[in-house]
Amino acid sequence: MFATLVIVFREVFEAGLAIGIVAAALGHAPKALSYIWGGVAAGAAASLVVAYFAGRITEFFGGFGTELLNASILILAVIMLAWHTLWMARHGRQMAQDLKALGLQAASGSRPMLAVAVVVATSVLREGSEVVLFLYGAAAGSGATAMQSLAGGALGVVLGGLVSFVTYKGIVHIPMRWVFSVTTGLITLLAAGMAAQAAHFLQAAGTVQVLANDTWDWSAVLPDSSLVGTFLKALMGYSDRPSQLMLAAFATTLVVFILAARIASPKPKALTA
Amino acid sequence: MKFLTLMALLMALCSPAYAEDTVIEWKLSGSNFDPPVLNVDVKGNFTIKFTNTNSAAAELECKGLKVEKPVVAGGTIVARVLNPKPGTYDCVDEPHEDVAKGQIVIK
Repeated sequence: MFATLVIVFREVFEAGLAIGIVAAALGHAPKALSYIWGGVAAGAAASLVVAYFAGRITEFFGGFGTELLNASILILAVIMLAWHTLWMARHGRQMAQDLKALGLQAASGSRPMLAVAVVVATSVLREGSEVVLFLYGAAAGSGATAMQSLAGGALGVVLGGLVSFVTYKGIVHIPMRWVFSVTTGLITLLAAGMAAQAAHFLQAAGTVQVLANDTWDWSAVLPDSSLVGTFLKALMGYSDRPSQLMLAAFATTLVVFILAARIASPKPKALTA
Repeated sequence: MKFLTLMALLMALCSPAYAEDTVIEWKLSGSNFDPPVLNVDVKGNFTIKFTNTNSAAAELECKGLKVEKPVVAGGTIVARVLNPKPGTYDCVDEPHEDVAKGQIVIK
Protein backbone atom coordinates (compact mmCIF):
# COMPACT_ATOMS: atom_id res chain seq x y z
CA MET A 1 0.00 0.00 0.00
CA PHE A 2 2.78 2.40 0.99
CA ALA A 3 4.74 1.77 -2.23
CA THR A 4 1.67 2.56 -4.37
CA LEU A 5 0.94 5.64 -2.26
CA VAL A 6 4.47 6.98 -2.78
CA ILE A 7 4.49 6.29 -6.53
CA VAL A 8 1.08 7.83 -7.14
CA PHE A 9 1.79 10.80 -4.85
CA ARG A 10 5.00 11.56 -6.73
CA GLU A 11 3.34 11.33 -10.15
CA VAL A 12 0.35 13.46 -9.10
CA PHE A 13 2.59 16.06 -7.46
CA GLU A 14 4.84 16.27 -10.54
CA ALA A 15 1.80 17.03 -12.71
CA GLY A 16 0.13 19.15 -10.01
CA LEU A 17 3.11 21.45 -9.55
CA ALA A 18 3.15 22.34 -13.26
CA ILE A 19 -0.62 22.83 -13.25
CA GLY A 20 -0.44 24.98 -10.10
CA ILE A 21 2.17 27.26 -11.67
CA VAL A 22 0.28 27.84 -14.93
CA ALA A 23 -3.01 28.21 -13.02
CA ALA A 24 -1.38 30.88 -10.83
CA ALA A 25 -0.12 32.63 -13.97
CA LEU A 26 -3.68 32.80 -15.31
CA GLY A 27 -4.83 34.65 -12.21
CA HIS A 28 -8.46 35.65 -12.46
CA ALA A 29 -8.68 35.52 -16.25
CA PRO A 30 -12.23 34.67 -17.38
CA LYS A 31 -12.85 30.97 -17.98
CA ALA A 32 -9.43 30.15 -16.45
CA LEU A 33 -10.91 27.31 -14.40
CA SER A 34 -12.69 25.88 -17.45
CA TYR A 35 -9.42 25.67 -19.37
CA ILE A 36 -7.50 24.22 -16.40
CA TRP A 37 -10.09 21.54 -15.65
CA GLY A 38 -10.64 20.97 -19.37
CA GLY A 39 -6.90 20.31 -19.66
CA VAL A 40 -7.00 17.95 -16.67
CA ALA A 41 -9.94 16.03 -18.17
CA ALA A 42 -8.30 15.83 -21.61
CA GLY A 43 -5.02 14.68 -20.02
CA ALA A 44 -6.80 12.05 -17.93
CA ALA A 45 -8.68 10.73 -20.98
CA ALA A 46 -5.44 10.64 -23.00
CA SER A 47 -3.75 8.81 -20.09
CA LEU A 48 -6.35 6.05 -20.31
CA VAL A 49 -5.80 5.72 -24.06
CA VAL A 50 -1.98 5.71 -23.72
CA ALA A 51 -2.12 3.19 -20.85
CA TYR A 52 -4.44 0.95 -22.90
CA PHE A 53 -2.07 1.00 -25.88
CA ALA A 54 1.14 1.12 -23.78
CA GLY A 55 2.28 -2.29 -25.00
CA ARG A 56 1.87 -1.26 -28.65
CA ILE A 57 3.35 2.21 -28.23
CA THR A 58 6.57 0.87 -26.74
CA GLU A 59 7.05 -1.38 -29.79
CA PHE A 60 7.28 1.57 -32.20
CA PHE A 61 10.65 2.86 -33.34
CA GLY A 62 12.49 -0.32 -32.49
CA GLY A 63 11.16 -0.44 -28.94
CA PHE A 64 11.64 3.22 -28.11
CA GLY A 65 8.12 4.48 -28.88
CA THR A 66 7.55 5.40 -25.22
CA GLU A 67 10.67 7.57 -25.07
CA LEU A 68 9.80 9.35 -28.35
CA LEU A 69 6.19 9.90 -27.25
CA ASN A 70 7.42 11.41 -23.98
CA ALA A 71 9.93 13.61 -25.81
CA SER A 72 7.22 14.81 -28.24
CA ILE A 73 4.81 15.61 -25.39
CA LEU A 74 7.48 17.56 -23.53
CA ILE A 75 8.56 19.53 -26.62
CA LEU A 76 4.90 20.39 -27.32
CA ALA A 77 4.53 21.64 -23.74
CA VAL A 78 7.69 23.77 -24.04
CA ILE A 79 6.34 25.36 -27.25
CA MET A 80 3.00 26.08 -25.54
CA LEU A 81 4.78 27.62 -22.53
CA ALA A 82 6.85 29.77 -24.90
CA TRP A 83 3.67 30.98 -26.61
CA HIS A 84 2.10 31.85 -23.27
CA THR A 85 5.26 33.51 -21.94
CA LEU A 86 5.59 35.71 -25.03
CA TRP A 87 1.96 36.75 -24.69
CA MET A 88 2.44 37.48 -21.01
CA ALA A 89 5.55 39.53 -21.77
CA ARG A 90 3.50 41.68 -24.12
CA HIS A 91 0.42 42.07 -21.94
CA GLY A 92 1.05 40.68 -18.45
CA ARG A 93 2.64 43.63 -16.72
CA GLN A 94 -0.07 45.92 -18.01
CA MET A 95 -2.70 43.41 -16.87
CA ALA A 96 -1.26 43.17 -13.40
CA GLN A 97 -1.51 46.94 -13.09
CA ASP A 98 -4.92 47.29 -14.62
CA LEU A 99 -7.55 44.69 -13.81
CA LYS A 100 -9.93 46.27 -16.27
CA ALA A 101 -7.42 45.63 -19.03
CA LEU A 102 -7.16 42.01 -17.85
CA GLY A 103 -10.85 41.53 -18.42
CA LEU A 104 -10.80 43.18 -21.82
CA GLN A 105 -7.76 41.30 -23.10
CA ALA A 106 -8.96 37.93 -21.93
CA ALA A 107 -12.48 38.45 -23.13
CA SER A 108 -11.20 39.41 -26.56
CA GLY A 109 -9.71 35.95 -26.80
CA SER A 110 -6.19 37.18 -27.42
CA ARG A 111 -4.73 35.31 -24.46
CA PRO A 112 -3.48 31.87 -25.51
CA MET A 113 -5.75 29.93 -23.15
CA LEU A 114 -5.48 26.91 -25.40
CA ALA A 115 -1.71 26.86 -24.78
CA VAL A 116 -2.37 26.69 -21.04
CA ALA A 117 -4.91 23.89 -21.48
CA VAL A 118 -2.42 21.93 -23.61
CA VAL A 119 0.33 22.35 -20.97
CA VAL A 120 -2.07 21.09 -18.29
CA ALA A 121 -3.18 18.17 -20.47
CA THR A 122 0.38 17.13 -21.31
CA SER A 123 1.40 17.33 -17.63
CA VAL A 124 -1.47 15.02 -16.65
CA LEU A 125 -0.77 12.71 -19.60
CA ARG A 126 2.95 12.33 -18.82
CA GLU A 127 2.34 11.17 -15.28
CA GLY A 128 -1.21 9.84 -15.61
CA SER A 129 -0.60 6.94 -17.98
CA GLU A 130 1.86 5.35 -15.51
CA VAL A 131 -0.57 5.81 -12.63
CA VAL A 132 -3.33 4.14 -14.68
CA LEU A 133 -1.03 1.22 -15.55
CA PHE A 134 -0.03 0.63 -11.93
CA LEU A 135 -3.51 1.01 -10.50
CA TYR A 136 -4.94 -1.26 -13.18
CA GLY A 137 -2.27 -3.81 -12.29
CA ALA A 138 -3.12 -3.46 -8.61
CA ALA A 139 -6.84 -3.80 -9.27
CA ALA A 140 -6.24 -6.92 -11.40
CA GLY A 141 -4.76 -8.63 -8.33
CA SER A 142 -6.91 -10.31 -5.80
CA GLY A 143 -7.90 -10.02 -2.17
CA ALA A 144 -6.63 -7.67 0.50
CA THR A 145 -3.38 -6.78 -1.30
CA ALA A 146 -5.28 -5.39 -4.31
CA MET A 147 -7.57 -3.37 -2.05
CA GLN A 148 -4.60 -2.02 -0.08
CA SER A 149 -2.80 -1.00 -3.27
CA LEU A 150 -5.89 0.74 -4.61
CA ALA A 151 -6.41 2.51 -1.28
CA GLY A 152 -2.75 3.59 -1.37
CA GLY A 153 -3.23 4.87 -4.94
CA ALA A 154 -6.36 6.82 -3.98
CA LEU A 155 -4.57 8.31 -0.97
CA GLY A 156 -1.63 9.21 -3.23
CA VAL A 157 -3.97 11.08 -5.60
CA VAL A 158 -5.57 12.99 -2.70
CA LEU A 159 -2.26 13.86 -1.01
CA GLY A 160 -0.57 14.79 -4.31
CA GLY A 161 -3.53 16.99 -5.23
CA LEU A 162 -3.53 18.58 -1.78
CA VAL A 163 0.18 19.45 -1.81
CA SER A 164 -0.17 20.83 -5.36
CA PHE A 165 -3.14 22.95 -4.26
CA VAL A 166 -1.20 24.31 -1.27
CA THR A 167 1.67 25.22 -3.63
CA TYR A 168 -0.78 26.97 -5.97
CA LYS A 169 -2.28 28.89 -3.05
CA GLY A 170 1.20 29.89 -1.94
CA ILE A 171 1.98 31.35 -5.36
CA VAL A 172 -1.31 33.25 -5.74
CA HIS A 173 -0.86 34.82 -2.31
CA ILE A 174 2.33 36.51 -3.43
CA PRO A 175 1.73 40.29 -3.55
CA MET A 176 0.32 41.48 -6.90
CA ARG A 177 3.42 43.47 -7.81
CA TRP A 178 5.57 40.33 -7.58
CA VAL A 179 3.23 37.65 -8.88
CA PHE A 180 3.92 38.41 -12.57
CA SER A 181 7.70 38.08 -12.15
CA VAL A 182 7.40 34.99 -9.93
CA THR A 183 5.06 33.07 -12.26
CA THR A 184 7.12 34.05 -15.33
CA GLY A 185 10.27 32.84 -13.56
CA LEU A 186 8.65 29.56 -12.48
CA ILE A 187 7.24 28.92 -15.97
CA THR A 188 10.69 29.57 -17.47
CA LEU A 189 12.24 27.03 -15.05
CA LEU A 190 9.42 24.58 -15.80
CA ALA A 191 10.02 24.89 -19.56
CA ALA A 192 13.80 24.57 -19.21
CA GLY A 193 13.31 21.42 -17.11
CA MET A 194 10.92 19.96 -19.67
CA ALA A 195 13.43 20.63 -22.45
CA ALA A 196 16.14 18.87 -20.41
CA GLN A 197 13.88 15.85 -19.86
CA ALA A 198 12.99 15.78 -23.57
CA ALA A 199 16.74 15.73 -24.32
CA HIS A 200 17.12 12.77 -21.94
CA PHE A 201 14.33 10.82 -23.69
CA LEU A 202 15.84 11.53 -27.13
CA GLN A 203 19.18 10.22 -25.90
CA ALA A 204 17.57 7.20 -24.27
CA ALA A 205 15.89 6.40 -27.60
CA GLY A 206 19.19 6.74 -29.41
CA THR A 207 17.81 9.53 -31.60
CA VAL A 208 20.45 11.98 -30.39
CA GLN A 209 23.91 10.57 -29.71
CA VAL A 210 25.93 13.71 -29.08
CA LEU A 211 26.79 15.26 -25.67
CA ALA A 212 25.92 12.03 -23.89
CA ASN A 213 28.53 12.22 -21.11
CA ASP A 214 27.45 13.11 -17.58
CA THR A 215 28.10 16.73 -16.70
CA TRP A 216 28.49 15.92 -13.00
CA ASP A 217 27.41 13.32 -10.46
CA TRP A 218 25.45 14.63 -7.48
CA SER A 219 23.81 11.29 -6.69
CA ALA A 220 25.62 11.10 -3.33
CA VAL A 221 24.63 14.65 -2.32
CA LEU A 222 21.17 15.19 -3.79
CA PRO A 223 19.75 12.02 -5.38
CA ASP A 224 16.75 12.18 -7.75
CA SER A 225 14.82 9.92 -5.41
CA SER A 226 15.08 12.21 -2.35
CA LEU A 227 12.21 14.49 -1.37
CA VAL A 228 14.07 17.63 -2.46
CA GLY A 229 15.25 15.85 -5.63
CA THR A 230 11.66 14.90 -6.48
CA PHE A 231 10.50 18.50 -5.96
CA LEU A 232 13.34 19.91 -8.08
CA LYS A 233 12.68 17.32 -10.79
CA ALA A 234 9.02 18.38 -10.94
CA LEU A 235 9.91 22.07 -10.94
CA MET A 236 12.96 22.18 -13.21
CA GLY A 237 13.69 18.67 -14.49
CA TYR A 238 16.46 18.07 -11.95
CA SER A 239 18.70 15.07 -12.56
CA ASP A 240 21.55 14.08 -10.24
CA ARG A 241 23.62 13.06 -13.28
CA PRO A 242 22.53 15.28 -16.17
CA SER A 243 24.08 14.60 -19.55
CA GLN A 244 25.79 17.48 -21.33
CA LEU A 245 22.84 17.59 -23.76
CA MET A 246 20.33 17.87 -20.89
CA LEU A 247 22.29 20.77 -19.43
CA ALA A 248 22.60 22.41 -22.86
CA ALA A 249 18.84 22.05 -23.46
CA PHE A 250 18.11 23.50 -20.00
CA ALA A 251 20.45 26.48 -20.40
CA THR A 252 19.37 27.22 -23.99
CA THR A 253 15.67 27.18 -23.10
CA LEU A 254 16.32 29.38 -20.07
CA VAL A 255 18.23 31.96 -22.13
CA VAL A 256 15.77 31.87 -25.05
CA PHE A 257 12.75 32.36 -22.75
CA ILE A 258 14.41 35.25 -20.88
CA LEU A 259 15.59 36.98 -24.06
CA ALA A 260 12.31 36.43 -25.93
CA ALA A 261 10.29 37.79 -23.01
CA ARG A 262 12.58 40.81 -22.77
CA ILE A 263 12.34 41.53 -26.50
CA ALA A 264 8.56 41.03 -26.59
CA SER A 265 8.00 43.19 -23.49
CA PRO A 266 6.77 46.68 -24.45
CA LYS A 267 9.31 49.42 -23.85
CA PRO A 268 8.34 51.82 -21.06
CA LYS A 269 7.19 55.11 -22.51
CA ALA A 270 9.61 57.97 -21.94
CA LEU A 271 8.38 60.57 -19.53
CA THR A 272 7.70 63.87 -21.18
CA ALA A 273 7.90 67.13 -19.32
CA MET B 1 2.44 13.28 -48.30
CA LYS B 2 4.29 15.76 -46.11
CA PHE B 3 3.27 13.74 -43.05
CA LEU B 4 4.61 10.52 -44.59
CA THR B 5 7.88 12.24 -45.49
CA LEU B 6 8.18 13.54 -41.93
CA MET B 7 7.48 10.10 -40.47
CA ALA B 8 10.01 8.48 -42.81
CA LEU B 9 12.60 11.07 -41.82
CA LEU B 10 11.90 10.49 -38.12
CA MET B 11 12.18 6.72 -38.52
CA ALA B 12 15.41 7.10 -40.48
CA LEU B 13 16.76 9.26 -37.70
CA CYS B 14 15.72 6.80 -35.03
CA SER B 15 16.43 3.38 -36.44
CA PRO B 16 20.17 3.03 -36.85
CA ALA B 17 21.22 4.78 -33.67
CA TYR B 18 20.85 1.89 -31.24
CA ALA B 19 21.37 -0.96 -33.69
CA GLU B 20 25.02 -1.30 -32.66
CA ASP B 21 24.32 -1.77 -28.93
CA THR B 22 24.88 -5.14 -27.30
CA VAL B 23 21.49 -6.45 -26.17
CA ILE B 24 21.28 -8.21 -22.81
CA GLU B 25 18.11 -10.01 -21.77
CA TRP B 26 16.63 -9.84 -18.30
CA LYS B 27 13.36 -11.15 -16.91
CA LEU B 28 10.97 -10.45 -14.04
CA SER B 29 8.97 -13.40 -12.70
CA GLY B 30 6.90 -12.70 -9.62
CA SER B 31 9.20 -10.60 -7.50
CA ASN B 32 12.35 -12.29 -8.79
CA PHE B 33 14.73 -10.89 -11.35
CA ASP B 34 16.13 -13.63 -13.56
CA PRO B 35 19.09 -13.71 -13.19
CA PRO B 36 19.13 -11.89 -9.83
CA VAL B 37 22.47 -10.33 -10.73
CA LEU B 38 22.98 -9.33 -14.35
CA ASN B 39 26.66 -9.34 -15.22
CA VAL B 40 27.55 -6.99 -18.06
CA ASP B 41 30.94 -7.17 -19.69
CA VAL B 42 30.70 -4.89 -22.71
CA LYS B 43 32.45 -1.73 -23.79
CA GLY B 44 30.24 1.32 -24.21
CA ASN B 45 26.46 1.60 -24.36
CA PHE B 46 24.27 -1.47 -24.08
CA THR B 47 20.57 -2.25 -24.26
CA ILE B 48 18.54 -4.23 -21.71
CA LYS B 49 15.71 -6.30 -23.16
CA PHE B 50 13.44 -6.73 -20.18
CA THR B 51 10.48 -9.08 -20.07
CA ASN B 52 7.76 -8.86 -17.44
CA THR B 53 6.17 -12.30 -17.15
CA ASN B 54 3.72 -11.14 -14.47
CA SER B 55 0.03 -10.40 -14.90
CA ALA B 56 0.45 -6.85 -13.59
CA ALA B 57 2.39 -3.91 -15.03
CA ALA B 58 5.93 -3.35 -13.77
CA GLU B 59 8.54 -0.64 -14.04
CA LEU B 60 12.21 -1.36 -14.42
CA GLU B 61 14.07 1.26 -12.44
CA CYS B 62 17.85 1.42 -12.07
CA LYS B 63 18.47 4.88 -10.66
CA GLY B 64 22.24 4.84 -11.04
CA LEU B 65 21.93 3.95 -14.71
CA LYS B 66 19.11 6.39 -15.52
CA VAL B 67 16.81 3.55 -16.49
CA GLU B 68 13.14 4.05 -15.65
CA LYS B 69 10.61 2.48 -17.97
CA PRO B 70 7.20 0.88 -17.44
CA VAL B 71 6.37 -2.49 -18.95
CA VAL B 72 2.87 -3.84 -19.35
CA ALA B 73 1.75 -7.22 -18.03
CA GLY B 74 3.44 -9.94 -20.10
CA GLY B 75 5.26 -7.32 -22.14
CA THR B 76 8.86 -6.69 -23.16
CA ILE B 77 10.70 -3.39 -23.28
CA VAL B 78 14.14 -2.27 -24.32
CA ALA B 79 16.08 0.32 -22.32
CA ARG B 80 19.42 1.84 -23.27
CA VAL B 81 22.19 2.32 -20.77
CA LEU B 82 24.37 5.24 -21.83
CA ASN B 83 28.00 5.71 -20.81
CA PRO B 84 27.98 2.96 -18.20
CA LYS B 85 30.74 3.05 -15.62
CA PRO B 86 32.01 -0.12 -13.92
CA GLY B 87 30.21 -0.83 -10.66
CA THR B 88 27.21 -2.44 -9.02
CA TYR B 89 23.80 -0.88 -9.60
CA ASP B 90 20.59 -1.65 -7.73
CA CYS B 91 17.45 -2.14 -9.78
CA VAL B 92 13.83 -2.63 -8.71
CA ASP B 93 10.37 -3.23 -10.08
CA GLU B 94 9.13 0.13 -8.81
CA PRO B 95 5.56 -0.83 -7.85
CA HIS B 96 7.00 -3.67 -5.77
CA GLU B 97 10.35 -2.15 -4.87
CA ASP B 98 10.29 -3.50 -1.31
CA VAL B 99 10.52 -7.10 -2.56
CA ALA B 100 11.41 -7.11 -6.27
CA LYS B 101 15.11 -6.27 -6.35
CA GLY B 102 17.93 -7.10 -8.73
CA GLN B 103 21.41 -5.88 -9.52
CA ILE B 104 23.45 -5.05 -12.59
CA VAL B 105 27.19 -5.49 -12.28
CA ILE B 106 29.17 -3.70 -14.97
CA LYS B 107 32.76 -4.92 -15.28
